[in-house]
Amino acid sequence: MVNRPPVPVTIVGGAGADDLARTLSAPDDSIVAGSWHGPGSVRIEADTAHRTPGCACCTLRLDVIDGLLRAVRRPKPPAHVLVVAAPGDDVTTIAYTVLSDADLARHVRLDGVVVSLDAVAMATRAAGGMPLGSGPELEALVMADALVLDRASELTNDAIISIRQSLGAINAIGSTLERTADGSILGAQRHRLIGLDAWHGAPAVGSRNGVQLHRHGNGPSTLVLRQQAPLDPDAVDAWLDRVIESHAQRLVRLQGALAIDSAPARVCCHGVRSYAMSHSESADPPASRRGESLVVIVGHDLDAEDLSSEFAATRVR
Amino acid sequence: MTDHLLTSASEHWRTRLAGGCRSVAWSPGGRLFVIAADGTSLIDDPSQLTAPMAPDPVDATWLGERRVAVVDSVGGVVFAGSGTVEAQQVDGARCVDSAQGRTIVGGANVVALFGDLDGDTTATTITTGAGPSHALCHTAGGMWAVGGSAGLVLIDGAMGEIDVRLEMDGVRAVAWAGGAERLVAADLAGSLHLIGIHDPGRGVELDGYPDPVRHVAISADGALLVAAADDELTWWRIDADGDPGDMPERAVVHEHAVTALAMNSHGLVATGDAAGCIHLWSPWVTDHPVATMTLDSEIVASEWSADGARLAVASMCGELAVYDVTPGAVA
Repeated sequence: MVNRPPVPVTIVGGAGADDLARTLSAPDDSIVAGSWHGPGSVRIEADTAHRTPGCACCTLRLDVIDGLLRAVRRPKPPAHVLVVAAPGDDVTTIAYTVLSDADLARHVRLDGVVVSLDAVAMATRAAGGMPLGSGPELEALVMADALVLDRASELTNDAIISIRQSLGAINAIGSTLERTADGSILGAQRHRLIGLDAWHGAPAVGSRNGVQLHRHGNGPSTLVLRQQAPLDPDAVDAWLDRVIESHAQRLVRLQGALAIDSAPARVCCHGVRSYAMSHSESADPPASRRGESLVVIVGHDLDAEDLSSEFAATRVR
Repeated sequence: MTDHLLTSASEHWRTRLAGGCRSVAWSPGGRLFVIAADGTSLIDDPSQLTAPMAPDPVDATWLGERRVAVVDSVGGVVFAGSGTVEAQQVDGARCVDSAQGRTIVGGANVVALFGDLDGDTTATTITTGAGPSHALCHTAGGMWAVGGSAGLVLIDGAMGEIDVRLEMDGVRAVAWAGGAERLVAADLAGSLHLIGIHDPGRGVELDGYPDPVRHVAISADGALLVAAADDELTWWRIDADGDPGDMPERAVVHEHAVTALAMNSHGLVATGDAAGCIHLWSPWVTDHPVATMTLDSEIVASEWSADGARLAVASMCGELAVYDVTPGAVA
């Protein structure tokens, strides 16, 4: 029996997704899954269905399932797969599909979500007082693990700083970087986009302290919850069940590292919409974070007060 | 029952396709065709390998005994054999079947119907309204069933039109019982839909599966229906009126998820799993396999020959085996 590790999958979205994915793809080592077809690619075309008929939080991209299986069910699987979310595609649905489908779970793991942005268009929007995005486009910006600014060299430093600040205000998890003038990604930057393993450990929110709620007009909000006390396992289970049950259709991303009372390692959880999974933290956290519990919730219409007080109530009494 | 318990499966041959296997098909006369992920193929036995004929093949079928059709997510469909190769574009081609001199290719919200045996590759294209196609089979006369993301359609191939469209979410497998003129469709929501071809609007829904039903088969007489969801098999007994029993026989039969399922003309069922384990099942002894074999990795396809005497099984890593299966007999 072949027993091989799951292939990391990066979802690449945004205006320049197709070009970015092909740039990030390493010859003979990666496969690009998207509408474009050429050497080192498998073709996918938007194809949705629902696990529960009509239920938005159970929407699956069947083309992503089929395409990824074709990409990795080979004698020699690729080292990495990049799934291209075409403009208008719902990145949240693709992430939900990659995480939740049982067939895929045997073969792949979600490595990260990377969103490509046209910096000039962003600056124009900002100058006109327009929002950074709307609908699925804004969801992708808020939940991304990395944001790549295309054509940043055409802007002034002040304009770039302004865009970075705007993105930092809506995305508590991801880092922002700029592509070089010729459109290529610097070698030193590739490791910031590929091989992140951003979904299976503690969320990368740095040292943001306490309860923080980032609001983005009508888009999703990001809630960062922390506490230092050990948590009661039953109380945490019940809280997470409640969060998913009451927010499923509105959850864009859930991720946490929880210091459970008497557990040898923190328990990490991650999810999208109605899907959630937990496992022991595989990497040792910094000493300063060992007893810390941290949860990030990205979703629509979050009640920060209720969620934070209920989370606080999970500590051992 | 005793006959099935004495079933034997002996390996006829085993080989490996370098590109990994995608699809296996038997011709009505017992010829084998296997398409690999790199587009190469095997015909009849390991000594006959072809050059790549499609960049990303997903399914294949025989057209009689001398030609094959291979569908590809990029190029559409390739007809090969009798010294000719011809490609036809079918948008989003995913699945193919052939019967009664016609070939049907399921694509993105369309099917393309070809008359095949004489090399006629002029297609009649029909919009299905069922979304991208995922499964199809020939039913009665000139009728075909096509399952897609948005439902199930019955297509009258002779008239070139949709006969019936039924809304379902994510139909991933269909099977046909010719003797009973009954169709079964499995969907993503964890339901089976048992449908009489002459009154498709009055089907029976068998629900309650906790996982999507990805594989289904039904005996030719329509009396036995078997479905696989995750690592569990369920066996439904269907009476002459088309009504299933209250509850199926069910058992967790594999240590890993079932990834392939096929029933032969004797009612023997072959299942393959994600670890490369293959079990043969008698419908009368549903809690214990009558034979077990293994390949090197996840089973991606298993098909019985038309006479039910041979089973071809293919794996993700390219291992391919053909077994001679003999239902046991009491002297």
